[in-house]
Amino acid sequence: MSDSIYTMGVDVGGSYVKGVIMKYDNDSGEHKLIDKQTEKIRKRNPKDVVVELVDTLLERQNLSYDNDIAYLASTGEGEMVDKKTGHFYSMTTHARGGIFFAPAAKTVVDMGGLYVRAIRVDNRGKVLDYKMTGQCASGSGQFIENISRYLGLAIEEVGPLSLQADNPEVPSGICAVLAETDVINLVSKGLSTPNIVKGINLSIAQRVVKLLGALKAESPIALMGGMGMNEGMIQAVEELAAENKKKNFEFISHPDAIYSGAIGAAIWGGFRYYKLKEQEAAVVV
Amino acid sequence: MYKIDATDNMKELMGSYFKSLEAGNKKIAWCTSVGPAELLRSFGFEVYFPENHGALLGATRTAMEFIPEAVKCGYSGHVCSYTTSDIGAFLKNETPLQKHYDMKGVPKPDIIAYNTNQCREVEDWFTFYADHFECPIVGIQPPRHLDEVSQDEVDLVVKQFKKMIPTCEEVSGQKFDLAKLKSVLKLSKEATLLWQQVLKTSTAMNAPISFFDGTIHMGPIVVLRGTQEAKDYYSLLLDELQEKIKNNEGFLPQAKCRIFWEGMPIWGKLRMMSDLFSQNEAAVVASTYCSSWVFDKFDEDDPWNSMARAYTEIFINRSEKVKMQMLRDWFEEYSIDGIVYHDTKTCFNNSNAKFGMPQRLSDQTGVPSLIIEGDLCDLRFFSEGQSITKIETFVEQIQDSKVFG
Repeated sequence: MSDSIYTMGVDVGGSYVKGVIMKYDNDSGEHKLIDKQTEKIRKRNPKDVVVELVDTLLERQNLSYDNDIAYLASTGEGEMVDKKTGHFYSMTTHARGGIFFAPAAKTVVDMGGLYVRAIRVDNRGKVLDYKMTGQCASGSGQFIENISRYLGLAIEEVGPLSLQADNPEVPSGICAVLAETDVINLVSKGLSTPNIVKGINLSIAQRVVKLLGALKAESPIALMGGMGMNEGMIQAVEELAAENKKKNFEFISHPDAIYSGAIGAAIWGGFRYYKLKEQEAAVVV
Repeated sequence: MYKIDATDNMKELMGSYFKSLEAGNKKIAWCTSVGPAELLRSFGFEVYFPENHGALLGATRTAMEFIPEAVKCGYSGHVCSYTTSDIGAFLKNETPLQKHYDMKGVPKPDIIAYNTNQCREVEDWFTFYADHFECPIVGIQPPRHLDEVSQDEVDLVVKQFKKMIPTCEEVSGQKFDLAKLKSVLKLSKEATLLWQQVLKTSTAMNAPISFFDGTIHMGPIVVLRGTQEAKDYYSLLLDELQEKIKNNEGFLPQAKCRIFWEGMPIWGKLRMMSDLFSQNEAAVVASTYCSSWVFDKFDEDDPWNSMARAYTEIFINRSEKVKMQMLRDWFEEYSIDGIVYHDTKTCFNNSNAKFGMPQRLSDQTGVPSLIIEGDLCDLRFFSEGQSITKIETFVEQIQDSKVFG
């Protein structure tokens, strides 16, 4: 009989709650993504959103929290997850989630709603070093959301539109408020929407590339977090990085990049579950 | 719950200090916190420190109400928020001293003295008041950012000190008395050495006083330097902390790593920061800030030279080379695992994270560093959520590397 467990990971971010169910086979050491779910928090209590998301996932997989889930791991705003077995810091979980999607990655970039974080990792997803963007929201996914709202776009439209740009103009990358004013100017100047959104993606991509330089990042680089699903952002990062002739960065993205934190939490949860079991066994012996 | 009992004595002492400023028995001198307080006390002045008031405006989170008043007068919101909040509060005729110490307001100065060993802003700040009160202002402008302070520089500063004397004599109505200066300097030295010993108690692995506690307990060494009361207080505090070491009683017994704080405190977030580090089992055991009031070069037998040297050799006034050496020594002395630089948005002079020092020092020592952005008083420059994420991440990385190598 194979020794396998189900674990859950719940990542509570600034804009979204992301949840996954993973299956871990202790014999083969293989992690499998069983199901995933994202909920936008909007103006709801994040705790309620978490409960709803966990119930949806369990129901869909016909699993019971009490009988089937060995470990529910939270990450991000962990205090919003009442049912958690344990909590993991978000850098650890995003690093591990990045390795899940891109096992060869030596650097994981978590491009989330509140900031961008570049993390150097070893092959187990252990954090070796990291760099984060500073305070200004102009380097965050929330900023893209705000801009897309001004432009009357759904967030999912930003990536594909950005790919259509032919002559983008980059707004201030220092201050979100200045950047928003710049965008209003660009709209009144009649710049096309693709060129505006590409410009926004480029302004954030500039910060990502600077972080990679400061971190002395090595390839391959996994682009994770919510902005990792924005193909326009991936393109912008690739274009800017290509300008650096010294480094030939290779980037890896994934359509489920937004789940990197939740997946990392679920994987670490499984690891901790077996560690605890080992300790219990040692005590009994 | 961990408690330093001497805190009650400290509160009482600070209360009586503020009362003495309103007693009207003595003339009042305003002075910078690392300024020529000993010379002023030798003339019998009661000394008031606007920087202490700035810290109070920060700690009571009232600074943001007052800064716009100073901005209206042309002071940029990006210059020292001690300056802008203090001037703004003055213009609004409000001060936390009214609520917390039952004072009518800040005491009116008879003379104002500054020392630009920390920044030029203090001169601008104090000149505002000298103009307003039409009162004499004297100052010391030592050479800045030196690798070594030579006798030439000391001589220059001694001349500047001595140049203050005629104005001090005129305002105080007292002739300069070298014996008095020596006796004040002796008391100041004794208090400052006790304060140094207080800080060094946290070289113990189960440290009895945190950086955050230190920012509270440093009150007397700032405002009562050169008095018997300050000396007595630090003697009491030191006894208690040494007793705690004997009993292996520390402020965070389960600490998994030891952190050094570089830069100004975020006065309005002291409690939040202290709790954050504690919750993450990280002990913040030492700082450049609290160490800034250790003037171990004071020597009553050579008052002029020793004062000039001590006030010129302070950390903030030194070259990067010397600062890095001082930090390396502290890392070793306090067994530091990581350093947090507070990049203080309105205090350029006391922010050492802008010219690559964190990277260079980490490369040299292997001690990892974190930069958090914030401010001493103006919390509009501080993002709590971002800072928490950064600090948790940093501490986790240190603890992880301590466990797994």
